[in-house]
Amino acid sequence: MLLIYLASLYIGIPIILSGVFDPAPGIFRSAIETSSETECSFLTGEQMQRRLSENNHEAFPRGEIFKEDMIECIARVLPVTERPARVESVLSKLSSQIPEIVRTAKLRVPDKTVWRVEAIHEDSGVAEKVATAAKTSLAELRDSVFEQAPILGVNAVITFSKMKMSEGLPMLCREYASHLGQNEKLLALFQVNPAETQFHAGLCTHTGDWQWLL
Amino acid sequence: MAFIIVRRILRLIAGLASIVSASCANASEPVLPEEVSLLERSRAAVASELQLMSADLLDEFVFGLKVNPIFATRSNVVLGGVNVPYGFGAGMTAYLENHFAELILKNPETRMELVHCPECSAVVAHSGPRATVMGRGLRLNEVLSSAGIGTIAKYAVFMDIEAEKSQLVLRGRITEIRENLPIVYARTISTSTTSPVLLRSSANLKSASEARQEYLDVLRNSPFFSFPIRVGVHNYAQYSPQATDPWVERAAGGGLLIPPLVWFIVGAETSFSQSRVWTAEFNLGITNQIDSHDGWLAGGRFSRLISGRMRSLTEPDLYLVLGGAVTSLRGNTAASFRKNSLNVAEIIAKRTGAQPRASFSSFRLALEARVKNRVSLSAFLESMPAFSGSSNFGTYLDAGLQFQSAGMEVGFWF
Repeated sequence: MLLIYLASLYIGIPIILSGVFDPAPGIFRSAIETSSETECSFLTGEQMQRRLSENNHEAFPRGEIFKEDMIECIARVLPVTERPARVESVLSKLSSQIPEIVRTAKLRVPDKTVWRVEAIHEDSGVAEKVATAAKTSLAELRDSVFEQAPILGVNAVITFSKMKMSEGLPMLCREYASHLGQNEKLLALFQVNPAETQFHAGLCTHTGDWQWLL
Repeated sequence: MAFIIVRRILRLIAGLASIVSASCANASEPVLPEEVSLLERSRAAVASELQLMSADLLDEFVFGLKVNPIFATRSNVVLGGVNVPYGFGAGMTAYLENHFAELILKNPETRMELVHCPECSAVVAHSGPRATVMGRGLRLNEVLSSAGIGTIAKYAVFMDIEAEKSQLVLRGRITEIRENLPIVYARTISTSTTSPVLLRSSANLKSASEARQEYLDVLRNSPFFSFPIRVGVHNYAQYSPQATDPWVERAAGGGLLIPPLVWFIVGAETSFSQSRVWTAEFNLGITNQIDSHDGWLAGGRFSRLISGRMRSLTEPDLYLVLGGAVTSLRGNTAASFRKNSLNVAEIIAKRTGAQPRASFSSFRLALEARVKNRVSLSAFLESMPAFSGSSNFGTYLDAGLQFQSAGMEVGFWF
């Protein structure tokens, strides 16, 4: 009796306290906190088996009674509420979205192209981050890239800001053209609709021709 | 199997509790000053962790330049800019600029000579025949040629750090300082929140895998046994047949008052893994008070870490302890350690000079806080089954099992 009593305390208390460290919603953590502080994804069958074997989980001889899904939650570097939602939606996808655009752009140009990159976003900080991701991706693919984008005059920028994106970009390309050399192409990254989180891309040549990429 | 069922029941209860608490919550409640303060503290903790992770990325970036230098000869380099994660300010930028400078200074194998260039970071306006443009000196072609920045240094380093979900990503570029700044080197490095920060030394920079191996070697070479020395006080509850609350018994008086015993205990402790989640200990103790008693005990204990998944190197750890001991006492105090009152034979024996003796077993439940496995403080409850229902002992806690003794211990590890 004594041993059963002590053993139940000894096993029960750590189980309850382990809930403090469990990222899943429960007594110690609300669903909102969980989704804000962690990045969770369902594991595939193969990933699940690998995790179980890593944790020395033994299957029951007559099979599992409960059908289980496994969700892997990794702590986010910054809580999702730390930055404005529109900014977070762009910055959290830099590593996945921008290299994909860069690969698409590379297919459309000759091998010896020299790249200039410009990103357009209402927040100049976000625009710089997007342009940096694109330039680094291109340079890592051993393409020639200029760090510096062409700098337009103030009048051109003011005119562009008053136009629709679909009309403004070809106009902007004509302005950029005078700054581009013969082998140079400008990769422009932008969002057509302020509500969307996906970036679009277009190419501008030294002749002032504008080409939509995606 | 039973363990899984218990866990599922607990989760079910937890789920129901969260539903109830969510339905009772009032979303329109104003934010209290305490909550704002808590938020600020939480943000400071995030920033602190972010700085360490960023420094780790810079270490890896410079280590890459050290192993594979991109310059044939030693070259002057300007730090063109460090962009910190969106929303973080100049303080973090300054910290990372300083850390990068320290890394370059202490690792000459990179063949980089960092030079100061105030013209590069100054915001300037330039009016030309085509337009008036504004920007940082390094980024304006017109300023590059007129200010002679190209004569100060041949290359510039640009770095950008950004938090992307669970990853912190560094994008580093090195450019030539000439028109349009052509990129000559670029590298993207990321670190995840799942891997601990390596805290590498700036001098003699090592790769991430070497630093991790060094860390593991230190852990593996930690001694198999550690030797705690503890000093503890055991108090015994006073018996009172009238009172029902054991804590009231002591105040009300009534039964025999057993003096507290001071124990000096030495032990040998080992753990089952480097994480020290489970530890086991064997110990021996002595107690002595002139003209009152002397005695010894021999026991063992298991400890289970409950404040985390592994022993912390920086924060105190909390263990739940389960132990048992056999104790032998001799002297006047020992006469109290019995189930019933003294009988005539014992009173006669005492008059003839024979010393009372008592031997008994005890089981202990304790909470122990340890700091870096060097010092500890524990509070415990002890049950002595031989004295269950004794007219000499009261109880501090009666939860089916009677705990007649309570106390505290201070420990030092060697």
